[in-house]
Amino acid sequence: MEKASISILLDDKHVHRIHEVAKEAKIAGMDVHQILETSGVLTGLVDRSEIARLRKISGVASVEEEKQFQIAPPESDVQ
Amino acid sequence: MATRRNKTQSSKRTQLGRRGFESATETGYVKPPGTTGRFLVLFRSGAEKAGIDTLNKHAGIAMTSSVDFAEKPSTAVAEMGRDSGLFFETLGVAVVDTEPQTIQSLSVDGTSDNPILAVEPERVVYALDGVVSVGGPVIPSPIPSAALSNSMLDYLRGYRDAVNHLADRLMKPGQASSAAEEALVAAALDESEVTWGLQVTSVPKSKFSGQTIRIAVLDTGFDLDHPDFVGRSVVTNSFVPGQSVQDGHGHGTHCIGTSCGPQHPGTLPRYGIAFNAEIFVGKVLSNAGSGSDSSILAGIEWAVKNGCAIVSMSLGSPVTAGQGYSQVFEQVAKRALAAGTLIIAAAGNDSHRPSLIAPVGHPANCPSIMAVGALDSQLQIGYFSNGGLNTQGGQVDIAAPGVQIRSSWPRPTLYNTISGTSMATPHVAGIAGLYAEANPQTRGLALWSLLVQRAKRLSLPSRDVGSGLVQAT
Repeated sequence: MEKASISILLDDKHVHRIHEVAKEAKIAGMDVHQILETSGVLTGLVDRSEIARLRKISGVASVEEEKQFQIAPPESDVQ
Repeated sequence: MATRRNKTQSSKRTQLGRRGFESATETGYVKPPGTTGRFLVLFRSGAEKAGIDTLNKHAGIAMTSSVDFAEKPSTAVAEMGRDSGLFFETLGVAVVDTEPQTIQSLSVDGTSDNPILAVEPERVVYALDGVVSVGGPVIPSPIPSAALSNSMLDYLRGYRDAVNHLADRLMKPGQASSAAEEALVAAALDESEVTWGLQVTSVPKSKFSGQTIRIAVLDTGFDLDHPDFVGRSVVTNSFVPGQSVQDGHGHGTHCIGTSCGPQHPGTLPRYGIAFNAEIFVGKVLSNAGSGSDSSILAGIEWAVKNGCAIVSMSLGSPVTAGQGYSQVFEQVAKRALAAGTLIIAAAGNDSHRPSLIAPVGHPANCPSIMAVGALDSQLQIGYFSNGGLNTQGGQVDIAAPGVQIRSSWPRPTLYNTISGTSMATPHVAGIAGLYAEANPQTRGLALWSLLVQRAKRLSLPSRDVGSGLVQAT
């Protein structure tokens, strides 16, 4: 199964319990890479099929697939 | 409460008609058009009682307090007699009916012991629904289009198209639309001392330098040994696995140059704004210019945790028409604002005006992130600058110089001139740094408000420039 890079947003009430939510996300199959305590966000990898399970975890406000960025090459007029 | 004086003097006045609406008194005073003949008196905060006493002693004015007419203030004003006044307790302002020369004789000199700060004639005001006040043109109220016949609609559309066509042909492209804009454009043609971007944003006039302010630039890193930045406070962190903060692209060095570059660079012109700011370099884009949400989020986390008042992000990912904004970035930005960090991001360069206007990209399209559009030296919108097209978020909040912008570049090149909403963004970030230093209590959303309030309104659509051209002072 293909893995997706995701960001999980915690709701305001659970930001201070981010480590507990991270544990639950791991149990649900997420490979947690970053725990951003001030922002209230977890990032990492998960099988696409598990995303629905992650959304059901108490304290999870939003799960998004991450976007990629690419700026123009250095010799471009417009950057 | 002072008692009312004997009103025998005022009986002579009533013979001339309704009080306050004659055009001249016996003394030859001509009431300015649109005023009632009464005066507004502003008292210095805390000195209201002294002000009322002054009016009583020097002008014989008997003051009634708003506390005593709480039920019918409008009636109280209408029935007010000559040489009396009504004091609005909460506002610290009184409405006074008195001889003009009496009020003019009060010294309004702004000295610290004068309880009276200002005296103004009371103006007449009108409701604005469809009719403009005296002196202006009468504007008809719009007729609902359901009430217009098809032939009338066709006629109006044809008329409008003909007028637009004629106007487009007569107006040369690139013409500034107001005297203020023309003055800015004319002044900025000479880049020997200062870049045009710093000139039109009034940066050289600012007394501030970003001293004590931490500005985080999340980008491709920085040329840490650039000669123009020797001795500067620079804190760094790389969020790109396997790559150091050293800028292998150029983009990051250029943006740091605009926002935080030196007052006296090795080679003129000056190109940098907050020349004493503490620079926080967050490498979130690789040397090849690529990155992802997770590295940017990590960069934002680091900046907020380190007390950066401003985060500058000259990066974006295109969105489609009708697409909404990221809930993750929106909440993160909101939390950052609450923590005193203002995130400023580029609107994006996906457009090709006039034929294509693309919507503001991610993450600038988040309402809680300040989105910046790009202007050229004629104060016209850059051809590539995205517009606020989408209905869910996606607004351009402000605009800044973003066409042909000279700034620092990694050695050995040292300087480079490029364009982009990426170049406009650090103009706003640098200026935000100046305001942050000038106003130590003003952070987050309050800092946002200050930038928007002070921006120079332009004759361009707010879809493209938000509240206008950012100004340093």
